[in-house]
Parts: sequence; structure tokens; C-alpha cells
Amino acid sequence: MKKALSLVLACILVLALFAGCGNSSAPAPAAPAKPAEAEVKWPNGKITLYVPAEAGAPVDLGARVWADALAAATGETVEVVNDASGDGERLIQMLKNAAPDGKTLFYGGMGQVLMYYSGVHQDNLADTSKFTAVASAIGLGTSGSVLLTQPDAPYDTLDQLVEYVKANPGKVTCALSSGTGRYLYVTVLLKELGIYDDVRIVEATSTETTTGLLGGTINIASMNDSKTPQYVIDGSLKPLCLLRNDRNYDNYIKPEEMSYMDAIPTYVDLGLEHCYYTLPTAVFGPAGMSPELCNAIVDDLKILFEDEWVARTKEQAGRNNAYDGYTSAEVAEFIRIADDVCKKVLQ
Amino acid sequence: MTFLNAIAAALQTVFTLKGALYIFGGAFLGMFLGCIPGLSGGTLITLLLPLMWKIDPVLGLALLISIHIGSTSGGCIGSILLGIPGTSSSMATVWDGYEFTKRGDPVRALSAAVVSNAIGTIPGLLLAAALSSVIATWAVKLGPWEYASMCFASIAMVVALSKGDIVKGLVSVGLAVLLCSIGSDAVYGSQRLTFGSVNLYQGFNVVNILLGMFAANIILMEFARNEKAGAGEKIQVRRFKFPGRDLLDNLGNLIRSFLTGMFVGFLPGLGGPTSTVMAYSNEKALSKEKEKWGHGHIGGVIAPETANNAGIGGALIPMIALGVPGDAIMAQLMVALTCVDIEPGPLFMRQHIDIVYMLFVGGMIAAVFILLIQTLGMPLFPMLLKIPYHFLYPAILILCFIGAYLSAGNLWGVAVTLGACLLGLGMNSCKIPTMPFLMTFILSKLLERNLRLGFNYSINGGLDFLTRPVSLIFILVGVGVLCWNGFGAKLWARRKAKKTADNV
Repeated sequence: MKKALSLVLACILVLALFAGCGNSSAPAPAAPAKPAEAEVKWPNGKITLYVPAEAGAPVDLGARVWADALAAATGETVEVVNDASGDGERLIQMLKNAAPDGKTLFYGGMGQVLMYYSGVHQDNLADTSKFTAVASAIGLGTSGSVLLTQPDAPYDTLDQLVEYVKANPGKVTCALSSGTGRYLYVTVLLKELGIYDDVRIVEATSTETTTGLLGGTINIASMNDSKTPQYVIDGSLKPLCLLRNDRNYDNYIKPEEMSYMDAIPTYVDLGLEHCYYTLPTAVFGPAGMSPELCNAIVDDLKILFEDEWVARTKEQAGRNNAYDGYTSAEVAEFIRIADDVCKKVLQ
Repeated sequence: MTFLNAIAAALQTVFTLKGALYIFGGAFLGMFLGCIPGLSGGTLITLLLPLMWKIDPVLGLALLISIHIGSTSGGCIGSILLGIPGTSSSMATVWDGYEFTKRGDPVRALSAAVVSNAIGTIPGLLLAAALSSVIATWAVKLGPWEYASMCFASIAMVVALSKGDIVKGLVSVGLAVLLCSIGSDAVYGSQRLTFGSVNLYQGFNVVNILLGMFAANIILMEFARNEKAGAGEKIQVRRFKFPGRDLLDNLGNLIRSFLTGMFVGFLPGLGGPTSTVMAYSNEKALSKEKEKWGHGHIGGVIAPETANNAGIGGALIPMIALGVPGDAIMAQLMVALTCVDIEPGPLFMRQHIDIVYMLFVGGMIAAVFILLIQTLGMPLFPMLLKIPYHFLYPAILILCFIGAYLSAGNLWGVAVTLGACLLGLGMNSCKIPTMPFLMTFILSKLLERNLRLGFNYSINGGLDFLTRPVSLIFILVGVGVLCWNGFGAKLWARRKAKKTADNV
């Protein structure tokens, strides 16, 4: 009797606890008035947003702001499903097999495309026969990176680096992190400079890159541009090149750090502008989503991102996380170009 | 703002109603979650990250560090009372801590653990506050060569934990290495032994394995054999007793474990479980009473509990001085900082001294608060074991599986936990020790990654492993321990026996 009772209690506890640990859902705040002429009836139920990262990871935080935004715009519940298994492979497969009704979406981007070319993923998110690029994510292509080295390195410019590497093949170690945009940027640059084969390429996570650069075990590597000024001001690292064409960093670089950033040459300054590509973080759906449906989603988000509530959310989301509001066709084009680069550089 | 002003400001904030609520609430919640197998402060920190946009950043960071300290300090409660680690960094506490509970005296182990936690946390934070820039500048000079050699030395010491049967110890280590090699490879992410299954792409989650192995040992073996009948009556419920004698007898252990925890803590990417494994294996190897370790030696509680808490201050050092996270929780704190527009880096200390000192002051006050509630509430912990086991164990088992689900993020994690349960049973029936398995499971991915990176980074074909002094020391220690365990001890015993015979 005691055992039967404890079994029943255990079952009740299991059910209660599993009910309590479902994935978090953004509550559905009151929806703003939608245009009456909307042609596509979307959404008509709960939306599921797959995030190929653990809860709390930087990409997840952006995804949650996006999910909140969509929930507020549509009045529907947006459920965020986090699963980092196989670097997102499980979610990619689930997305591929989902119905193209706009109710199953994936928040990811070039990381997954890069990992496809590295052999980690079975399917390429940029493959339009399997997936549809729907909308831009929070912070699509807004951040950049800087190529850095030690202050006592015998080169101060890219030209001097090229000269040094050619004179000392195999002596310069460059850290790259697979599956990141910086991997592609640095690879493209080194190939363009003609020193890719003379540099020792090593794999390093972001933490290992910073540690290695500061400790001198890595000679050159790139770092997010918002992090860079501190290391330059402090004298710990020396910048060689800003890996982008523009200087649109006013909204996230502090005024007192601006002069240090402005002193770093961009690709345009060096005549290397063709080395820069927008590597988008975007929202994808399964193949077969109609352009009308994608536009309806983007329209919903546009309405929301003009809203005062969203302006506050953007501010709360941090300086780097501006929503760019591209159309789905523009996002698809960014992805096509970036995919071409990946194919050319990595295959 | 000078550092004295910053400390004063931090104290002022802490002792407001709101500040006290954040720090004490965070510490208590962290401790509560830390006790429960499979849950931890990390889970709560993840849930609270989106709130960082909405709360005062100084207090928000104090809340997060208090949760972390509470969780790390609370992990020992599950390890000692239930034999199932509350957090992965309390894993090594189980082997000796739970033996005290089996004898009916969990309060002795709990008292030693509680005081060791405070001794690890408070001086660790003080050292971090005083020396962070000096230590961090030195720490970044160590590379994959030192990390790999350190892991090798630790695994060599782990083999020594196999209770005399070195062959079975090596079988256990080999099994762990085999299971660790499943999934993405440690450097380039190529798939190994996954047979095309998405579930295996990421390998096995360490928390799932820990929960399965311990649940197998504790719940299935003891409960199913009805070993627990009447165990509740045997448990002594008494108040906290200051473990002065135990600490004094283990003073060297305490200091070495503190230094091990700090050292591993400030090396980016190694994490709490690594420091406890190293401290435990190191102290067992050095102990004069090796045979008692694993059967309820108080040193086996003091070593891991001091090391895991010392690691908190250690892990703060590279984050504050250089913007490099010392462990996964520090990475979460860095995400929290970026949520409030602060980019941790070398200027973090200068630009946000208020936040830096709030981390130290808030952390120390949280540690004192945890010490107080754990000492005052000491009689409550063993009372948990007075609950009839047929109610207690199903509840724990369910919490274990909830924890397994939460750590993996999917039901596959629960399946892995069940599989680890079966593996634990199999190893028990073949008398293969699980201790080396679990410790190697934690260390071998680190060893593989750093070994391969060491060869990649070297321009002299890996000679750096032997030419870098710190790396060489670890390699010599590892080789020495292996040789001693392989044949040194036998030779020594034979020589001693010969000497005795000669004397006779």
C-alpha cells in the first residue's frame, strides 16, 4: 500500500514538475491594431521560435527580444525553444520538416551556414529548396571586428604584416574560431593578402583567442570591435585593421573611445572593400513559405519596431542589438551573397 | 572613485533594504538550488539574465554573484546527505562525505564542508580584489601546453584513486575516455562515433552522467537492497560543531586545496569541477591515510569544498582584469554586463570600480550570510533524512530526472541519465571503480582539446610541452605518480621487506 501510494505521489510530482519546466513562452501582450487589408491570415495560433543555443547565451537574449516583439505585434504566444544539440542540428532538422505556415521559425544565421561547410550540419540554411529566409534578426550585420596583435609585434600595418609573414613563413600564428563570422572575415582577408598559406592557422574559442593574444601564444586574431578600444587604450593590444568598410559604430562605441577606433584603418582606407560581406543573423522558416507570408511577418515586426515599447526594448537590448528591419527579399539576398562567399572560401 | 570609496559605496548599497534583499535572497536561493541534484545557481542565473535590462546593474551583479556563491556552497549538502552531488563541482565530496551519513554522523562532514566553503570563498575574493591584475597578467601567459599537462597529471592521480587495483582503474579511465570521444571532436567539430544520430552530436552531458552514476549507486543499490531500512533512526540530528580539530589536522590540505582552487579558477575555461577533482586526487595522493579516503576521511570533504569555493575568486580574476571569463558562470556574468552596456575588459576596473567592488563586497557578505544560515540551520539538514526513504528517494529520483532534462534541454538527457545508471550498475557488478571514471570524464575533453591545441600552436612539433617549465613540472608529476602506482610501491614494499628480513 505504502509503495503504491508513493508511486502515485511520484507520478503526480513528475507530471507537475514536467508541466513546470516547459520552454518559456513570451506572453501575448495586447496586439496593436493590424492593417485591415492584410491579405495573409497570419498567425492563427502559437508561434514556435527555435533557438540553436542554450538559454542565456547572447544569441538567445536577442531571440527573446525578437520573440517578445513578435508576440506584442501579433497578439499570439511566441514559444522560444532552446536546443544546442549538435550546434543546432536537431532544430534545423525539425525546421526542415515543419509546415511552411509561418508558425515554426528558426533564429540563427551564418554560424549554421559556416558549420554546414565545415561538415557539422547536414543541411544548409541558405539552401532555398529546404529553407526560407524570412526576416532580419536583432542586430543583423551591425557589429564588426578588428584584427589585433601584440604591441611589440614587428609590424604596425597590414603591409608590414604581409612583408613579415613572407619573410618568416610559419612563424605567425593566427587564431580562428570555426562557425563564426570572424572566421570567414579573417580567412578572406588572409587569402586576399596572399599570406594564408604562410600563416599558422589555429583553432581557438573566443576566450582562448583573447587569452592567447594577451599572453602572446597567438600573434594575430580578430576581436569584436565593441571590445577592442579597451585593449588598445590599455596598451595590451595593437590594432592592424578594422574588418569592415564603414565606421558606423557611433551607437555603441563610447565617445572617449571614438578617437582610438577612428585611428584604425578600414577596408576602404586600405582598398580592400571587396573583402567585406554582411553576414546576417536572420530568422528562417521551412521551404515553401510564400513571399506574402514572409512580408506579413516583416510587416508585423515593422509595425512593432516603430512602437515606443520597442524603442525601449531596443535600448534595453544593448547598443549592438539594433533591429535593421530589412525585407525578407533583402535578407535572402544577404544570405545568398554570404553563402557564395562561404562556398568559395571554405569548400 | 578610489577603491576605499568604492568599498564604502558597496557596503552602503548592501545594507539598504533592497541591497540586503538582493544579496541574502540570491544567496539563499542559490544555496537551495545548489542542494538539489541537477539544478544549480547557473540555472537561476540564466533565468534572471533578461531581467538585467530592468534592474540596477550594481545590485543585479551582486544578486548574480550571491546566487553563484550560494549554489557552490549548497552543493555539498546533497553530496553529504544523499550521496548525490547537488552541483557538478561537489561531485568529489560524495565519496567521503556520504560515508559520514552512512555512519549516522552527517553533521561532522557538513560542519567541515560549511567552514571549508567560507574559507575558500572569503580569502579567495580578498586575494582576487588585491591581486587580480598581477595574477591575470601571469595567467594568460600559460597556454594549452600547461593546461594539457595539468590535466594529464590529474588523470594520472585519478588512476591512483582506484583502490589498489590499477588495472581496473585504467579500465575505468579508458571507459571515460571512450565515452568522451563520442560527439563533435574537441577542436574542429568533426563527428566521431555518432552513427548519424543528432542526439550524439554534442556528446554526453556531464550532469546527466553524474546524476545517472550516483543515482544508480545510491538509490538503486541501497534502496532496492533495502539497506536503508531503519537508517533514518541512526542519523544523529545535532547542532553545528566548529570542526577545529579536523581543520587543524588538515591544515596543509586546506591551504593546498585553496591554492589549487584559485589556480584552476583563474585559468580561463577550466571550471569548478576540474579544481575539485584535482584537489581531491592531489590530497589523496599526499595523504598518510590513503586507505581511509573513500571510506569517510574528513580530508576528502575539506579538499573539494575548499577548492570549489576558492575557484569563485579565482575565476573572477581574469574577468575583472582582462575581460576573459574564468568559467561558465563568469561568462554568464559577462553577458549580464553587456546587457547593461558594460563591456568587460582591461579598463573594467577603472571605468566601473563600483561594480567591481560590489562583486567582491557583495560576494563576501553573501559568503558570511551562507555560513550563518548553514551553521544555524545545521540541525535541519539531517532531519531531511528522517523522512521515510520510500518517500524521500522517489522524490530525489524525480528531481534527478528533472535536473537531467533541464541540463540537456531535451528528453535525450533523461535517456542518457538512465543509460549512465545502467553503466554504473554494470561497473559495480564488475567491481570497476566509478570514481576514476567520473573524474576522467570531466578532465578528458579538456586534455584532448589542449593537447591538440598545444601541438597546433607549437612551431617545434610539440617540444613546448617539455620546454615550458610549468608544463614540464606537471608532466613529471604525472609520470611520477603513474610509475609509483604501477611498480614503485611494490618495489618499495619489497625493499622494506628485504630490509626487515636482513635485520632479523
